Amino acid sequence: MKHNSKHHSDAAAAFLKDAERAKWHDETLWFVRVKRDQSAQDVSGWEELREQASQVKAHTLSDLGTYLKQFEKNASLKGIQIHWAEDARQHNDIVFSILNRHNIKQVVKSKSMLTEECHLNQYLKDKGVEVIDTDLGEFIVQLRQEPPSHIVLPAIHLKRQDVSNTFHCALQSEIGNSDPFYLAGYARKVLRHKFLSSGAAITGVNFAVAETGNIVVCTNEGNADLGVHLNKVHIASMGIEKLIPKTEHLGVFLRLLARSATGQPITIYTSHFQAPLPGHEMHIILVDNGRTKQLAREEFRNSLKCIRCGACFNTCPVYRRSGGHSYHNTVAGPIGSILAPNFDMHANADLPFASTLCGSCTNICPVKINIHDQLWNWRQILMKERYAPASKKISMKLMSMVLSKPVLYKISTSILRSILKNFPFILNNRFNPWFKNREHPQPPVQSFREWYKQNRNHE
Amino acid sequence: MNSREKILQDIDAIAMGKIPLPVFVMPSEQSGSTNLVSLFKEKVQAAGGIAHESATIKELNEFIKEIVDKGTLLINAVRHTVHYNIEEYIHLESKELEAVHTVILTALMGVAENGALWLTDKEMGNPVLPFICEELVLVVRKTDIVSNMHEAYVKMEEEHHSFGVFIAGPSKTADIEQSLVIGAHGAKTFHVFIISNE
Amino acid sequence: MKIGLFIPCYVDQFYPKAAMATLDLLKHLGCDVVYPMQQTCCGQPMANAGFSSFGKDCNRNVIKNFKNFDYIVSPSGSCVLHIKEHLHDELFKEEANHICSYIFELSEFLTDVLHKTDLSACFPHRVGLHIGCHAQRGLHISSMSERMEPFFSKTEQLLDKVKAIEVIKSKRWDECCGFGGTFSVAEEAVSVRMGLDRVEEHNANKVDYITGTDMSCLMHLEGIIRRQKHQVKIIHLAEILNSREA
Repeated sequence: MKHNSKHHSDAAAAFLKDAERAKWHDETLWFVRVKRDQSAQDVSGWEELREQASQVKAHTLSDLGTYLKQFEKNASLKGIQIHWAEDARQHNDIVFSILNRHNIKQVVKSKSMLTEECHLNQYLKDKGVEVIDTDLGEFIVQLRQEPPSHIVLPAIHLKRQDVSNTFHCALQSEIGNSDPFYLAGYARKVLRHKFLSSGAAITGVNFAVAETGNIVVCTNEGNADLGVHLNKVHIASMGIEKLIPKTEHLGVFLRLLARSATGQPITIYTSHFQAPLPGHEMHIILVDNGRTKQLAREEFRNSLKCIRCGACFNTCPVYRRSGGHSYHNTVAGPIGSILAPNFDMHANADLPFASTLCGSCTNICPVKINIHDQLWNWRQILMKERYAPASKKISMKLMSMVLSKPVLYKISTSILRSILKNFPFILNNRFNPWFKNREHPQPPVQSFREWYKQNRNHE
Repeated sequence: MNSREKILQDIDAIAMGKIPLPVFVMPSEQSGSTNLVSLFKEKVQAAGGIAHESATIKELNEFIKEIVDKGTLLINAVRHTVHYNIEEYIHLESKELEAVHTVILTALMGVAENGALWLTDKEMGNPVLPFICEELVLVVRKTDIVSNMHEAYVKMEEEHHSFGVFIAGPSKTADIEQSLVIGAHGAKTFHVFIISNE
Repeated sequence: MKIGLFIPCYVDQFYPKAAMATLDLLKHLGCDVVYPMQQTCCGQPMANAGFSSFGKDCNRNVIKNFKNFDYIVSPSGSCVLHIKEHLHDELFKEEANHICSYIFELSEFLTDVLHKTDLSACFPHRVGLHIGCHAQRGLHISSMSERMEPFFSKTEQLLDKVKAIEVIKSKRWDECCGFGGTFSVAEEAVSVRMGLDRVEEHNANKVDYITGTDMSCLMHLEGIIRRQKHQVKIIHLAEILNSREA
């Protein structure tokens, strides 16, 4: 699904125009944040658990090659077919070649951000394969032909009336019936039929365990399991960073994941796919698609620790008030803003600036990614790499010159205060974004420096 | 060079200091010596399940008979209970099991901190069964309830299954305006029988 | 102990009372405080905008003005954090390190260095507290809602000792106000929305004043308050702690 190319600030401003809906979006996601807090409080040693998870992931990334080979070996021993894809195109080609070999024309897919990142659905559609997203939120946005706005709650930007309208148009559900129970029940029937008529199941991977070659998929709906067990072909797409070394580490991550994501102590289904059943095929595609490039960036390496819980989205006051689509990437929010520039600095130069650097994300992240520090680091790189408009660079250079030299500082600041006092119209107009919704600070009679010089400098 | 070689080579080329694997320390018991079974029951119920605490096989059998009397299709894989009939269905293709209403399975353990139960394809007969039914019933021994996920993975046996799953309630979704709906794609109702005698 | 007073540029220009109160408060507590007249800006606005490489001159000026003090105190969590994290100078490494180790935001200086919490202050008003993110999450002057840790707050420790004050925390007590430096103009819509939401929460508590550690946050909230024509006033923490009303 193509994302819009609007700058985050413009998209956010548009999002906020519908003040009531924006407020609802903010409050709904804040509520998810609150549920996370309550759930984390239930775990004695939560902060130690985060530290464990962070170190396990950091260790794994520091020896990723070894773990990938170990995973491949152990999975292969059990009859799982391992494929490697350098990029999205290769991933998609591999998926299609498996389906094509079996002449499969319809597949069911459970939630996988990686397949979104690879734009798999459109690719398969172009090749004549129907893909049905079975996660209810993903199903809804698929019908609406728009990308998900949140990695855990894909349709969080929609109200029930929106879903009702979509279902009525696409599925002939009852017009005007926006009862979530009715709509979910309707989707169950429609999708059950798809589960039964499909030829293969595509899933994502939450965790891949190197010592056993097992993969773990977490859902609340049971759609990953229904898809896999109703079909003879299972394709699991995973980013290479999803590895963890041992089974015992699952205890750490599974205690953190659902609590961070939705406030549940665990998802309803935590499925361990270990080997294909007799007569079945299980494929795992290990995908790079920019991950080794991010791994090589020392300042951003540990963004790959991400377990895609979405907690940083829910806690981010900017995300809650701008909506996922304003980040124009598969993964939005704070984590998206440190992953996206790695893919395309030019297209994503706005994202690291879509933040006040408040640090809430860093402190909520279950694997302790220093997100707000990385946002700051990306800003330095982006401005150095010519992604700043010339005017911005010049004005910043000027500002740093003026603000570092006492004489220039004194002169320019008195000029500023004088303008505010005597010629306010110069700044109080629509060209000044501060002034759109805020008054300027009132200039005092004397600056502190002037007062100090006059009254206290002898001390 | 194929993709595998390229990816591994790219990783190898990165000068990364190896970070040691932390030594895992089992966390101390949660909030004093909470009764594991009552915590487990609380979590099952919080997730929308129905927990039958201190149940006996006799009570389970009565429950099963009530379902059979309703006339809906029941598949029971719990040995030594009435209407044990998994053998009749084990040869069927998954898609042929669509009509099943109630599935009764043994769970190998329960986890008190989150109300989840662990079972493998050996307990399921056909791994589609826990997901395709309308009503799922899991039977676990009281003595098989552990405190947390760390203990669960220690207890899990290193047998070679094709599939295992932790199930923590009826299927659910809140994808429509964050309104919780019980019964997404999997079971709509969920019973847990915690058996206190053999 | 010689203390250098670091006053953020916008406090110097627009909110001198906060600086005066900081100076007077420290003097009242027996400190030998000096305001180096040639100080300018810590360089944070440029650095946060991605131009930390342009900050060399600001850094040099900070070092030049503050290298000889035992402590540096500032009524600003964000400036202190910026200096702690980003003050470097190839030529004056030791001096830079010294400043980084001995620069404090006002409330943490009072509680952790002077060990003074009761300042004989009196402020008979309802006051809403806005905790600045850099002070809170950066300098850790209070616990944060994200982490599972026992609650503590150096700022509240000080405010609790102020006579006749009524401190009321808002529901989302540590959510960002939306200032964020250049964010306030580059992402104007979100910035204002965030500020409006903070103001609304404080107004719901019917406070007379909103206070905090950072004038930058308060300046942004005040801009919104005055445009919305609300009655609530902003006041820096230092001014409350320095209030000696009967």
